[in-house]
Amino acid sequence: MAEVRLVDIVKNYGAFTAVDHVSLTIADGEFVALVGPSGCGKTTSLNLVAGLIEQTAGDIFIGDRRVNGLDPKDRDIAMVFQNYALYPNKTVFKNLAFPLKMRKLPRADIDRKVRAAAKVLDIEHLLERRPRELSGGQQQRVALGRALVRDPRAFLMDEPLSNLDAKLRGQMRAELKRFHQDLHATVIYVTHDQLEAVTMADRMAVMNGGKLQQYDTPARVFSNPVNIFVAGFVGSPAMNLLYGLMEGANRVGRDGWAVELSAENAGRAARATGREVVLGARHSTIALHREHVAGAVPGRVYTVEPTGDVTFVHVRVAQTIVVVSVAPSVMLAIDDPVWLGFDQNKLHLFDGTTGDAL
Amino acid sequence: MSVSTAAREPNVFARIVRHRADYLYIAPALGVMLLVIGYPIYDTIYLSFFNTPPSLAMADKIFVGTDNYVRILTSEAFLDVTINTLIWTAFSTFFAFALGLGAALALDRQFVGRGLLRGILLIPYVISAVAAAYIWRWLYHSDFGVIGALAVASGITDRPINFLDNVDTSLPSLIVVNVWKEFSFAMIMMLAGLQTVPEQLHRAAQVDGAGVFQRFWHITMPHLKGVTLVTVLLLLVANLNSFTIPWIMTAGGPAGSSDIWITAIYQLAFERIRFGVASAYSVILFVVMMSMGYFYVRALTGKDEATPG
Amino acid sequence: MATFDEFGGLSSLGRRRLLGAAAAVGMAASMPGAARAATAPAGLDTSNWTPEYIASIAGTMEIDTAAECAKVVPLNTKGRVTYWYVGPNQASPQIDHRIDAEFWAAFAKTYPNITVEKQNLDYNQMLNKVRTAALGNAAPMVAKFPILWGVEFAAKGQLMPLKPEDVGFGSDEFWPGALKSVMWNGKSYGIPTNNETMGLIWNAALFQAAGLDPEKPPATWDDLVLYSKAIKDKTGKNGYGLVARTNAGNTPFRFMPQLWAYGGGALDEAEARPGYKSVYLNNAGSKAALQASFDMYVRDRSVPVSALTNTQNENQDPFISGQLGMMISHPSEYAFMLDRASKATGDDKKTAEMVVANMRYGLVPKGPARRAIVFGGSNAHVFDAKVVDGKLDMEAARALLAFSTGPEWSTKIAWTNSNPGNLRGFRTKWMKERLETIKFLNVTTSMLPSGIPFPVIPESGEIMNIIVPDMLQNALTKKMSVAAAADDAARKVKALLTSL
Repeated sequence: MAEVRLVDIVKNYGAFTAVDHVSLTIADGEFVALVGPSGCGKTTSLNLVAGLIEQTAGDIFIGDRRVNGLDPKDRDIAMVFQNYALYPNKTVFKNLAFPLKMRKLPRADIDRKVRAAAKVLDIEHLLERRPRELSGGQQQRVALGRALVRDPRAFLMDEPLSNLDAKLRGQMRAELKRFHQDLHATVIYVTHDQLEAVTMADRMAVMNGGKLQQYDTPARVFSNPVNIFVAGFVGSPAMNLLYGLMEGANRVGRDGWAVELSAENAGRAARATGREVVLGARHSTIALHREHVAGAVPGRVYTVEPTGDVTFVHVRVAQTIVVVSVAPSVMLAIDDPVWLGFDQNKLHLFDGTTGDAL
Repeated sequence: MSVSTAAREPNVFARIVRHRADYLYIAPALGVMLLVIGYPIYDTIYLSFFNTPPSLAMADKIFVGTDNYVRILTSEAFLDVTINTLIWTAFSTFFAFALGLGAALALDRQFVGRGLLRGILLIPYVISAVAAAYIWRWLYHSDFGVIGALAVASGITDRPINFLDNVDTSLPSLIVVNVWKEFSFAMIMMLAGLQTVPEQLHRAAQVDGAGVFQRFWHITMPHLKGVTLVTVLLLLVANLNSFTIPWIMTAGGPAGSSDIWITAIYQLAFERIRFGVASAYSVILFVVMMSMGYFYVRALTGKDEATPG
Repeated sequence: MATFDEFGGLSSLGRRRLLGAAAAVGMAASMPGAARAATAPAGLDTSNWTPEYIASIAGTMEIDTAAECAKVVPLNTKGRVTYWYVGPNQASPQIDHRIDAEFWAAFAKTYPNITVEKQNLDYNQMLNKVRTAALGNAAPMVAKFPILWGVEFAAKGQLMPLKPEDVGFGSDEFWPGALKSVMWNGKSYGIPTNNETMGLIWNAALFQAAGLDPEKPPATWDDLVLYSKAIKDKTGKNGYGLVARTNAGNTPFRFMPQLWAYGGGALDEAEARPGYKSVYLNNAGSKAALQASFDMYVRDRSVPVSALTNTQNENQDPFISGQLGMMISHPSEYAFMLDRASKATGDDKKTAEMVVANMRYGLVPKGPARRAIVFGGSNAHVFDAKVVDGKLDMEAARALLAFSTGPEWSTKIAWTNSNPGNLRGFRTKWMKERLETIKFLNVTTSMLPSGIPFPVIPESGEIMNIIVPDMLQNALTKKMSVAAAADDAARKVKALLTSL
């Protein structure tokens, strides 16, 4: 396995910039997720690393080798695709053997490597079947096997779980993570699902509009989002964002709600470019009161979502909906008046004009 | 609510009655088909058991049983005509398909002028067969043809090349014209098939190290199996039926060297007025075509048998 | 010159004198129904059918068509007749169109109460259309067919018996050979409308360049082979316009004269009294004729290579551009070439005009046995009531027939490319005008006595259009030797005639 480095990568399609000066280093053996909404440039970046497309500017290093301009087959990488892209007319054995056959390895070697990979992935009993006879999970393992036989320096995975139903997805997520750990593989994993990224990756790179927004461990991305986009993207339900204006030095509010800031938070708010400040609070950091409490913001219950473990209450505050999690035993009805208390230590503040964290 | 039971027999009539409105909808089309296709087929098969010499009115035709069939199958000309037909059909189909596939592969990528080129390549397919036959007849003409004149002018030969008036080259010359006329049909079919090859498979193969030709062989061709089968079958049927080009260009000559089943049938029926024998001949051709039609329908509706590879 | 006997065939030299005397006798006895004694119809001496004689009799008789017709069918008769014919098409000269229009106008004037529903059909389609129509009982009442098309319908019982007497003419007013072509099983089923034969056409300038006498055609077929070679060797252009396409009517019209001249034939149609049972196709004469064609195509290469797929149409362009020395063709070929020259442009026009100026007509060469040419023309027939579309109006049909097969209109309709079927036509002023205005007409007309009709049997089409051309092709492509090709063709004809 090897480290993969992207150095100031740019990819333009005519006037459109798909990847805008992205620099990343994926350490040897690290599992990195490229995550973001559709069109953010994550798949393009992956294809650039693979060598399927050529970058407009910048360098890519796999190990200590600069691989600009090299064909995919010469880069020593392996790819797993969203639809697995298994060769439909070949048996599983032949699917696994294909990359080795293209390398013109002798028959005996091919046989050995294929069986070894099959063993690792526990698909030995499927070797004579064809892809259409396999379940989704089995197909994915075959796809992994095909990547595995190549002894690649890095695995590139392009949303491999998107096609699976929720239950299977959960299972496969665990398996993939196990696969990564057992092999100490370098994995670059593209997904639009932040939950996958958060649960599987050692570090995650959040992208939007071709630009890298934040590259850090999931925990830190979660707890310290660098801007409103990342704050709203990571975590489910998403972080509550309240757009307000500074009223004085330590009050933020807007038509109908207002929050007093602690001295520390007020100091952060003062760094904002203008008067616009956005408050961010995760659902678990907001206290729900049945009657008025000093400093709490009034609102009305909009809807209630019991999930079994926890109940999410959607509260209408002025023009916004704030989601609060409460214990499942709490009984609330629609339009019940409630008061929300914000934990000042866990409050996020963002510059309303630039979007950056304060 | 009724549940269909395992025993189907008693339900058939009930099912028909329940769906009688559906039958009414297809009745007009069915009626036209019976009239325009069904009845002539029946009449031709019926006529094939009779002898209809030119000196007798049709009403006085003579029943001869399978005599016509025996006569055709044992005549010396039949073997020659059958060989000609096999050569004509096989080579026309093969080359039209190969050229069409090649053109489709070339057109499957984006390049400047792609739309224009595709339009130009379609021209032979859409112009009338009669016009094409006459044009090529003059191109090939043994005394004043353009091809011959060019060959002489550029010094390749010292007299115009004899394409059509030579028993050895008449059939191949016709095959060239036929391929020219129909390859773009194959091109269009294969092009449509090529658009359905999943992009991801190509990318996976690229990553696996397959070159252009290997990707073609391992991914494109297997994927196109269905379209290929259909295209080849359609070409085979069209070529067996292909009358205009051979008839207008050489009328089966010289000395029968370009006579194929369909021109022989035409000659028998409309030049020699032997409707009985011609009908028997037609029935033979019909049986061959229906067998091919059977395979065609099976290919369309059956499962793909995956080939090892 | 040769004379006609009662069967319209060529008689040998020996018998000529005898029949000539009989002709003189028969001249006086030109009565309707006296056709048996033959020759000297309508005051004409057909034993002396030279260009000079033809010129001398033209313009010596006045014709009143309306009066003649009135004797057959009253002029005020009401009726309706349907009529199919091969009329002028886009390729026909203007004059044909004009005469066709005049004909219909004149008929309408003569018989104002008879409506004619006419269909002008293309030559290549007419036969199939009529066959189909007859099969479906939708035939026209009256049809004008090229010679010999009628026999298949007569054999099937689809024609009404019909003879010249039915419309007020005598059988002696028509060529005996023409009358032979409407006979089936001893009965007559039609009336000849016009008759023609082809002649030999050549380019005098090419003859001259090849060292040949520009004003004289080759006298014999053997000479023609030599002439063809001389033209090819000395000028590089093709000599004789051989036509050998299969399934085409042009081919037998040019090859049969060659066969007959050498003493061959398909059956015994060239004999004085043909029975149409003996096969001549592989006799010595036929093989000699086939050998002559072989010599020209294979040994001397003096004819177009494309002859195997050419019809006469494909000879016309080479001829008008001076690339072909000689060919057998219609009297109308001259008018056609004139037309083409007028439509040519630039250098082509000069070449074309030169060719037209150098165009000559002559008698088709003779062979060891005889001089022969195909007796061509058309006949008018009436379809039997049971196959006619609608009700057969016999009176209207007779009116149309009397009008069109009389001397005036059988002359006029045959203006550019044929001759009146009714022999009195040769004595009209219109014939005189034709002789004065149409170049070479006297020559082509003088071939008439050498005319031989194809065998008058329903199988004639298959023999002439398929078996004979196939024989030619088998020999010329060397697929079979000359002798083998002839034997093969003879065998096919025998098989054809003996199978029911």
